[in-house]
Amino acid sequence: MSPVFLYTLVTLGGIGVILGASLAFASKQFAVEVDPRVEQILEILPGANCGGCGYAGCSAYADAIVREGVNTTLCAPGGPDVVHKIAELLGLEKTVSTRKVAYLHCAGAHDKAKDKYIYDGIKDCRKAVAFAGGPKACEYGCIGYGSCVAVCKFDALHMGEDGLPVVDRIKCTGCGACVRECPKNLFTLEPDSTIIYLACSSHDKGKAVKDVCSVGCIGCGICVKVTEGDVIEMKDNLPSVKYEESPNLILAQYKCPTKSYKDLAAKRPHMNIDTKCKGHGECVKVCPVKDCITGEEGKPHLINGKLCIGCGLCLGVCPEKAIHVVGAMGYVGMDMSS
Amino acid sequence: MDLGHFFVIIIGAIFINNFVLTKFLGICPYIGVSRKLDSAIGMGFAVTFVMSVASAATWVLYTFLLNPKTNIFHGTDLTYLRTIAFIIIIASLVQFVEMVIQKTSPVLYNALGIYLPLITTNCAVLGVAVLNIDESFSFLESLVHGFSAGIGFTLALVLMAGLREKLDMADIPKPLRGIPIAFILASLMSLAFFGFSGLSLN
Repeated sequence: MSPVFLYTLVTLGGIGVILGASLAFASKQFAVEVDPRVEQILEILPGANCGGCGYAGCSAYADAIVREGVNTTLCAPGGPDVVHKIAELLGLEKTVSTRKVAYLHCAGAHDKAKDKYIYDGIKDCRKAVAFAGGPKACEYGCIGYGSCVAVCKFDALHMGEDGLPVVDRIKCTGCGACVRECPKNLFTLEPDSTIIYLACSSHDKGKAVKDVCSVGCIGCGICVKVTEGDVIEMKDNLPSVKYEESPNLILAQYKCPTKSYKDLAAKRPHMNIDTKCKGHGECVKVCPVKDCITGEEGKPHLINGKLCIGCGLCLGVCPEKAIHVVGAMGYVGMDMSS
Repeated sequence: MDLGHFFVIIIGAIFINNFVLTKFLGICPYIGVSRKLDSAIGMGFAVTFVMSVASAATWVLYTFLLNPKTNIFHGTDLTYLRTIAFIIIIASLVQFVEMVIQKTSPVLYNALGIYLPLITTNCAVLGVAVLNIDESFSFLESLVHGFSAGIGFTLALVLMAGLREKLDMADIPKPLRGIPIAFILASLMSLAFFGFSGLSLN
């Protein structure tokens, strides 16, 4: 055997054996114990790494749950399913988190809100804001360059033709990326049962709002007066609505002089009076809509289904319990069959 | 063996023969990890560390096992094993160091550790080991050369990352966004660094 062949064998073989042995030794000696639950939680989490939970990614959140006992309900994209599975794994009580989606609190489309200058820079909201607060005359309004659309990882935001982003309520996971991105803080996450919401964020006084936008809230406070319970509160010229208490905002939307409340329902149930009606007329007194309920006193009354806004005020006052709800809810941009 | 000699090695490795911009080694991390300044700095230090350690380890390996003039095999020429032996030793060394850091210093592991697997078989690291042999450097010279080559790599990476962070703000034509403009940028930087080749240090 030639010495070159022998020495090659010895050299490479020796290197291989020594390095292999030392790596094997090191992997035993320097093994870092990882809590197996971290891996298991990581498998449950959706793996979108959206950062909605406030951690750097899914693995950071899984680590925080195990090590620091952080709340297991922070994963919005995962929804209640993920919460249940993690709770089961850790032997915790099941806590249900309501599904939340993003709502844009501005309705200042191109034709409704005025611009104060023509912006010709980078089409990015944060850049535009740096220049005198953006081109919108209303300092609270949506700039409409779609920075929120760009950060949405779930394809749930699209730019509408009117220059305002539209939330796809089915795709939205409530991760909150748009909430953090919007330089005007126009997005909030609210329970997805919210159908009517205030689409304005302006704290300006009535005149100032009227000058720049036709659908801006003028802070008149009528919505506070007409809505039952303490669900709306005027804060600095703007109604603050507690959406988590699922308020009935139909009347507020109807009475709002500027139509600042946005209704996502294309069609909602209306009231109907059956033959039990003896014509007490109690319903006529409470109905907020003119000529909606008609009929002579003492004779059966009639509700005009086209005028009825479905507020339900008349339901409780009928002494004969003759008023019923008819029809179903329909949503804008939502196929209810799915 | 005066200090001036080391100065020539250091300046040579950082500027005149910059690994990335003049020798075109380690282009993959140069493009891949230069999106953010933070990660560029982390990657730069990881490479510097690995290059220094690899220079030392491969020099010892080459001198005592492969080089016919100095090895323990009575002058048998095993230099043809250079590439494979270097790759094996660098890869396992990096793995070993990664494990040790993970165990001993979680802070250092978080700063460097995530980049270590990326450079186990990086050509810049192999390049510095091979160049040490080609230049017939002594042990100390190899170590200094490896370290300064790493610093040169860090310099190129950090410059690139700084520029690319600015590029994100710029209004670049759509087809050129991302990697294409990064390549154009890299070539311009490379051209600029060729200016150093006129530097005479003798």
